[in-house]
Amino acid sequence: MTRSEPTQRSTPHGQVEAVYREHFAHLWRALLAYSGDPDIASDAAAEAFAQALRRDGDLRTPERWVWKAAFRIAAGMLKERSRFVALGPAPGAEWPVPFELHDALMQVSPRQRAALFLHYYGGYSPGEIAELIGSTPSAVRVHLFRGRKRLSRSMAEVSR
Amino acid sequence: MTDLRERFDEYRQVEAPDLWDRIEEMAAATALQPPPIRRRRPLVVALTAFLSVLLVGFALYLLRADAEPLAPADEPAPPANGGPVSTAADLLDGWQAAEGIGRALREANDVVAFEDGFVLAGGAVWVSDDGVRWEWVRRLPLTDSHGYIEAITVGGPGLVAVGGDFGAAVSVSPDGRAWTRVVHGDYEAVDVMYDVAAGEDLIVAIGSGSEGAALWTSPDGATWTQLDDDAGVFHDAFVSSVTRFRSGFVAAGGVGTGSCAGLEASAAVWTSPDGLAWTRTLIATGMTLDDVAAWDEGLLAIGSAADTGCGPDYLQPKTRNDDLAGVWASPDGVAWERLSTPDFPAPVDAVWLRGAADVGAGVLVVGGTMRFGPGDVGEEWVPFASFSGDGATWTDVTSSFDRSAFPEAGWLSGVVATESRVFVNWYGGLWVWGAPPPVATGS
Repeated sequence: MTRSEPTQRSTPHGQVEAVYREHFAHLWRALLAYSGDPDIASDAAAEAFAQALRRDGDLRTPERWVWKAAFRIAAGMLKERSRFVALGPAPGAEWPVPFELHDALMQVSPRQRAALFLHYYGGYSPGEIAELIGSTPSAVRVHLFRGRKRLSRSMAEVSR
Repeated sequence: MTDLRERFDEYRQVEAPDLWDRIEEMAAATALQPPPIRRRRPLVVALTAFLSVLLVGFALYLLRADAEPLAPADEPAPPANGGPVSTAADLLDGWQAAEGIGRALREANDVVAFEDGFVLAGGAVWVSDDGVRWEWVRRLPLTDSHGYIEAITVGGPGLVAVGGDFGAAVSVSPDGRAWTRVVHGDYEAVDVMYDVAAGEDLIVAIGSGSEGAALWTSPDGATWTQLDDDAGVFHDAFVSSVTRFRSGFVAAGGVGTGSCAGLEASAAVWTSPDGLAWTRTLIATGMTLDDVAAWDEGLLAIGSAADTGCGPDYLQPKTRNDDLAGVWASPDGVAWERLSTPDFPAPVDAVWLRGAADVGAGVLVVGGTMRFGPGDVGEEWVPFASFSGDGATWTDVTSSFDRSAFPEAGWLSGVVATESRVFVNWYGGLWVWGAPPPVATGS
């Protein structure tokens, strides 16, 4: 299937596509770190962008909306599948991942994962992270605080 | 510990799939069908066009009249009690949505009165003469990365702002426009600075370190020293707020780590006569404090039920107001008494009280309430604000804020009271009380 040409940014469709071109890879990686599952990352991200397209210009801040929607969709998928610790990629699948960190991340809760990833990978503030994952800055600060400690212990164990 | 930022940067090597074609197919598969085209009679079409032209012309006339700069009315005299608010009823009216902040520019976190105007800081810095109309002055100092300011105070050479930028960051300014970064901390040692307060001879900043809360002091805003926590009073703690109190300082937050049981977290207050020696007091279990403010010649602290931080059910739903959040008062920062809890709009699954300020006739508390979404997954936070003159009776003033100006506002993230204004901010904007309404100039 051929890749479609970028639509003009002035149209609602073009605006969403512009957000996609700039943010999709980061969002997908964040969802991967959050869920531990590349299928959930792809499904959640795709559904969020598809919903944004269906809104047809009715979004004040498409970028923020897509991030929030994607995390909520991923949270729903996680809850439905009851997956908290990923077993890694499916047999035969090939996708490079920093396994030491990834394995350690899977030992902390999904929200701690999201907070840690968005903070240390993306440089987002607690307030921004709270907006993205549907939480409060205070809760995010706790996630970062507790997540750091648990992550450091997990990485020390993984490194042995 | 290995540099976390470097480790997380390894994720950039993970190639994300290109799903745009799939996304367009998904969107098209469920897109609404366009309405059928109906043929209209020529007379109806002509009348519709004529009325449309009239309406557009009238709208343009109104806009042209409003395009002239607005001259503010005379500033009202502040009430004699020292704060801008005289009665609870005052807060029910008179709020204006700030202009010029811009939703695309990240968060609006803290505001101070400075010289003859105001300075707002968060994802950028803005200045204003009246607190309503804001001028963006610059992005965060010196870097083009994700730097942000969490708090700002008058002190040092003029203004001192603390926050984060892949590590703790402190910046100073003489005027709110020209900024200089004076500290960019080691990411592993001090992650983010969350609040700052200026005393007579010392400025204190609090933040998150590797073993708990971190505290820095400075005599001038330019040179900073991290406090050695030999007594371990900040170990396994997170501090959200610090304020000047009499000749010393008070900080508020929580203590407790490790377990996923939120009840193991305790609300904590730290006091210091000089900013250097600190004493910790635990005042409640199952809660963490988000703000402490001077009130009624003493202090008032607010907090919410501790987040469990584990698993998808990260918040255990509660039904009693007293279990959702709390308000405490103290004459000295050491002895604390729990006050009555504001009534929250039922049904509610969680409450977050974020900011408190003495507005003159009493205390205004702001935050948000939340209901779990469908399937207990999606969360919808909505604003919450309540006022009390005595700490016993609360009046919900949430409806006072014009939500149409900021329909996407969730929780309210702070409240600041100056001599003439009250500011309430959320993530992407600001409401202000006490500014004179705009008066159109004659044309």
